[in-house]
Amino acid sequence: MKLKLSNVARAFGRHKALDGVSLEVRDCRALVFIGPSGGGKSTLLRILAGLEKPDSGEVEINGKPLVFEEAQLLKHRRNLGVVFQGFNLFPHLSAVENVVLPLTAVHGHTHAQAREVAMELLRRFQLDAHADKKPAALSGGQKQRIAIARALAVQPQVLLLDEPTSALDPAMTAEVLETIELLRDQGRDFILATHEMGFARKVADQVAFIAEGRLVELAEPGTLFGASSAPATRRFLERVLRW
Amino acid sequence: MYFFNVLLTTAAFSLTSAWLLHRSGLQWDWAPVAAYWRLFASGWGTTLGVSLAALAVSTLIGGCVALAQRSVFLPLRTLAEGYVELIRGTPLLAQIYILFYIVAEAVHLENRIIAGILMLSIFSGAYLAEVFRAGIDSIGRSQLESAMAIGLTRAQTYRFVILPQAARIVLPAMTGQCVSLIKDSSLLSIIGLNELTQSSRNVASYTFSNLESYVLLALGYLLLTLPISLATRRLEKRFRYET
Repeated sequence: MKLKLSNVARAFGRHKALDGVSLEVRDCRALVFIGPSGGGKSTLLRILAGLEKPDSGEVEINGKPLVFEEAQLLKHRRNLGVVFQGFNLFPHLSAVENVVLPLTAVHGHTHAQAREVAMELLRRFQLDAHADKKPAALSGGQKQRIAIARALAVQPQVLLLDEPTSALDPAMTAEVLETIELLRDQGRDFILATHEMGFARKVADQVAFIAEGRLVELAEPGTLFGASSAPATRRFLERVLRW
Repeated sequence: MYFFNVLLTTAAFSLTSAWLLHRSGLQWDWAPVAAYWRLFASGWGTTLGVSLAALAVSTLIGGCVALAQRSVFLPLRTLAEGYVELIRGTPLLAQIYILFYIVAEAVHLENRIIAGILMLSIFSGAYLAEVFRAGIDSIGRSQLESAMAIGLTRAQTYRFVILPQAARIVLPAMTGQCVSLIKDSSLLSIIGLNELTQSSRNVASYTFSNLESYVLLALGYLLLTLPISLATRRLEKRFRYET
């Protein structure tokens, strides 16, 4: 994946969520955003996902500039998969129907085709036994893996994951991280915002440290976690890795 | 257990009523009223027909107005809100007089049944619009965002995400409105529509059996409203899923 941000800014009232972020990566399969909560990771991901419009600045994904205008954004969203912190499954649909819906409603599959695709994915994630359960009957980890399956089913160019494990206990977190690692091994491009430093270090090609609405540092994980030149990054890592 | 409760309640109600009747020292004579059973039956039939038709039309009105209230087009929103406030802020009695003697007169609508159905629909539509709007508003932001992220259009979001979930939420309120509508149809007696109330009044004046006629009238309405309440309980159970 190629990604280029130039001076992207977004404010909510007087709060500057993003205060001019510029960033460029090429040939990056896994880009990971780390940083304190409220620092702008989520807003940045939501702009990339076409769910939020920046006040100013430009975004280019795989060489194509993102046009922040509804019809274009709709097209853009259809090329992506998004996974949210709170799973956001549709509670009235069973697990497999959650995966089927975007395939039939947006991507022109027949219901039978879509179900086949969905079941194949659920089997791969070892969720096929839960296919017909409603989200309320699933554990957090299962829900999040269904959400990943839903995002993945449409063959997205890029998968965006916004703190996918922040609402989960350690065992479920492990379960979801294993799934994400599986995607990485299959060469799926993704951008992940996370607080799991160990995981970030392991899967990322590039890690971006984002704080106070700015990109503090962008580096390979070995450099950023091992010998960061930025004092703010070092302070943050010292704090979170201490315990 | 449920059946036992019904039995117990009915018994308690009957005993209390019998005691009250006994204490009031009234002489009951059902024979004159019974002689007019055809009039009751036809009035009951009219009430049933008018209510069913008005239910269908007011659901349509309510649905359209609820969507209009959420429209991005401001004049449409204002119009819809104005309609709701106007209708909910005035008594049905006044609306019937104004609509029947001014509006219906002006457009030469002479059929009392059709005029009655329309007036009742306009009235009930405003309440249903609010019920539907509340149902739609109750679908959380995260659901809308999820729908957006998988690339659904606005219309698809309503069809696949909002309406199926809202339907379950509005069901109890909608039944309440439906029961009200049936009872409110009694006010159509003032334009001389021979529905159940008007028929009972007629019988009362022919036979001088006021009390008997009104007891029958009340039972006639219960016969319509009770099944609705019971059916809804069933439906609610079927629709139930944990969120």
